[in-house]
Amino acid sequence: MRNRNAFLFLMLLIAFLLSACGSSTPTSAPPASTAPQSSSTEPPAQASVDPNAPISGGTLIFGTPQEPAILNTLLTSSSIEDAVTSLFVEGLVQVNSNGEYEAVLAEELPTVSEDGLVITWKLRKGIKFSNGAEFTCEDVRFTLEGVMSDLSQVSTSGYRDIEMLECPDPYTVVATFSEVYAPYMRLFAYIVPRDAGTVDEMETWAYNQKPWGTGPFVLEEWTPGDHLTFVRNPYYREEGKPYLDKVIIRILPSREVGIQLLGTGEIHALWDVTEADLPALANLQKVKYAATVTGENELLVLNFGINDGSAPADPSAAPHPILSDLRVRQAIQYAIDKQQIADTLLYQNVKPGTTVLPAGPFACPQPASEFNPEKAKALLEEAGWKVGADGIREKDGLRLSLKINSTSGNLLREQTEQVLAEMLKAVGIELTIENLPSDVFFAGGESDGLRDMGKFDILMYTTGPGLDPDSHLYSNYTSYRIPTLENDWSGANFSRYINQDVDQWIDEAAVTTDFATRKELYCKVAAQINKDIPRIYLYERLSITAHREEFRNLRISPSFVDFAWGAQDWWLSK
Amino acid sequence: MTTPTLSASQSPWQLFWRRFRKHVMAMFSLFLMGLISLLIAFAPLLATQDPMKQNLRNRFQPPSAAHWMGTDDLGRDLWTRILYGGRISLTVGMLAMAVSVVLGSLIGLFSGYYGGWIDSLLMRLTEIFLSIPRLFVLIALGMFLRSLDLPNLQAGSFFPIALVIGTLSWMGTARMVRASTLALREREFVQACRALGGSDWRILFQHILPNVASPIIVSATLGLSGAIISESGLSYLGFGVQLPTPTWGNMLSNTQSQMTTAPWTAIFPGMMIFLVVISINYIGDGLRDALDPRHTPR
Repeated sequence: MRNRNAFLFLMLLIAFLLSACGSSTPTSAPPASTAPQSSSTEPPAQASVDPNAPISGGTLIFGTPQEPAILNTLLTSSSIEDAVTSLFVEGLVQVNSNGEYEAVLAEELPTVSEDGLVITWKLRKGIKFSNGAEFTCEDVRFTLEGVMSDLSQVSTSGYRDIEMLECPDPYTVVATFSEVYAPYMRLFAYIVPRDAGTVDEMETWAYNQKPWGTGPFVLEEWTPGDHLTFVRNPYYREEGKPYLDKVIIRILPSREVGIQLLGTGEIHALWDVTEADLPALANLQKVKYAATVTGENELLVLNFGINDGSAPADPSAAPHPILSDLRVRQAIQYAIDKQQIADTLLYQNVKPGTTVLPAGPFACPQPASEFNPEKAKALLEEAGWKVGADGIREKDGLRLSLKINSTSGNLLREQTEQVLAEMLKAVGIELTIENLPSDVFFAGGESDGLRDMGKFDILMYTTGPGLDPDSHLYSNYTSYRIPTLENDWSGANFSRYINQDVDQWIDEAAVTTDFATRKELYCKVAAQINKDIPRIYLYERLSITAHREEFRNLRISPSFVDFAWGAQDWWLSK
Repeated sequence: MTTPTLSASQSPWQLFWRRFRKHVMAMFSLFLMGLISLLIAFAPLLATQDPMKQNLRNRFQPPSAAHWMGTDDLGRDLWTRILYGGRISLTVGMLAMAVSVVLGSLIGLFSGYYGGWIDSLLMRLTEIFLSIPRLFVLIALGMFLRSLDLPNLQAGSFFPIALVIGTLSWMGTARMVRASTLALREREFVQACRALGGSDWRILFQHILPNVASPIIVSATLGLSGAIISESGLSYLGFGVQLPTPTWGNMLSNTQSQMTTAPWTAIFPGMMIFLVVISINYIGDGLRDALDPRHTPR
């Protein structure tokens, strides 16, 4: 019996090897990049002979390895849900390809009162939901009620500052804030129709599974575990759009399967591809990808406080034995060849990280950090770290040995860590690697999580501000947001970074309405962070959607969760 | 009567070796394992490069004269890493096997020999271990070992991995040994020993243990292969061998995204695990046939 099993196993292995060899075309060349940051806004609609003129009709199949559970914007909790809802949900504003807000259901961007407390919107007239109901100020009011309900999953930050929302007429919205909330625009980025139901019954609305909206498509059918079919919204405001008849979201078992299906043409696009999948995509015929920077960095978090889990609120009282010294942090930055990582591990598809604010309207580019191992060595010497017998530096019997933690099972992160270890070794710093499953890695302090408790030397993960930097900078870089036992582990300043100026600039920017002044404050923050080095930005993360050549006009939103951004302009060439 | 009978002139070991030799696959596997062990033992002499040396300009090179098995995702020589990785993989496998065999045999022997409440207790324990989800125990054990803060239980040393894998894989052995012991304790030679005043220990370890050797050896060989594969799963959970130290398990894991572009990065470590696993299984097969007196050789 065992012999027969072994034989079968052997045959399977041979078949597996043969198939693997057969389909391979070994290459280490970078994938053919196409339109990394496309900025075209409208398809050139000219004569029918033009191959770039949009054709109406056709069914587009989008693949994704994740499945949404609920399609009510107020209750969504995963990025795939946010992505799918963007096919039918619109707001008063959306973000354009430059990361700036533009009016959608509003006629223009709102007017703001002198004191910054009253925001007035003029709504477009004649907009209809896909069920034929007209869109008015009441829908805006209903959406706000929904957000403020206890049942809602949306963060009420900003919304709770709205003291009053009035509808003087169906096409005017007047929102009065109790205090200035500078990123007010984002509060009006989606609308839930008022006839969805009553707010207290939000969890049982039929809308949750069969939603509608003002967007270009409307859900027709949903077969759980298999697919969702969207059809044209008959009342869509732009004549002749959307071009496509149908969009089918197909649920796939894995991303690897998706890449295969993309190659055979069974799906037209695959959502949420990672940078590490790009070489596999480059091997496929007639497959391209669209990518955009997300404003997030893959970064290193350096711990200023002691790494024994005592989680000090002030790291100067219990400093990290190695990383509390600025010269060591500078040396680490000098020792890392970010360009090398971007060029090899990421196939020249990304830019090395330079700043906490790399993209969007508040982008504050900073000078790139210098790769200079000699300077790194000199700084370490100056700080008293002398090379020991095995090439690793020592000071007062302490080895210059640091541990890096990240999420396990991520090939790209594993590669990056090993390359970092090699780069740091060259200047006499030992870097050991220990990766953890993501739910353990990201666990909170109440479940012994190493981030909150400061039980680490260096962490590596991805984070960054959304379009408005306020909440990210506040929670990641101010001294008020250092997680401790006393504050129930709230905050994301895991470095335990304290700089009074940074605190003050971030506070000031949050209550400033003038765009230029805010941006100036944020840029001062970005520059100061690069001087103090609580974090090292390795490279700018991309949001990538792979697609077949015949799928035209796919663009990626800078607000990376809405994959259907510009779906009215999608079309399929023959 | 001048011609002595054949069997009379043979010791049990000679008999065993004679039977084992007839098992062609087992002999071939033994040779292969010997070869692999030699390669691994002399890794520093046979390796062509430093196993940790990265060369990012030389990533994903297909097999060539300079790199016999090609290079991996960081431009390291795969042949060298296979040799060094085998050291850890096989050591972890052997250690884990030892832990599992010792635990399983003892529990099986006591359970089968004493019966009664001891049997019930030990067998319930076995069932508990069988029913706990493995991943859950691994995460809990990982946290526990980490919290101990003992230098030799930290990431990077193999001892905890072998311990953990062994602790979670003795149940099959225990059940098999118990079943054999149950039958053996009623046999005449055991009763004779008892009648002569032999102690329980003497009966268990001098008379029963040698007779249950065959199921123990078989389950041990099966356990070795499982342990090699489990090892890579453990480093995923944050303890055990960590990067960049090569093991066959971690060289193989995460290579699926490179299958179409650089298949050799998956094929060679996969092939080594496959060869060892199948060899060990055949050796186990041969051992069982050779040790079982009732088994008719093929």
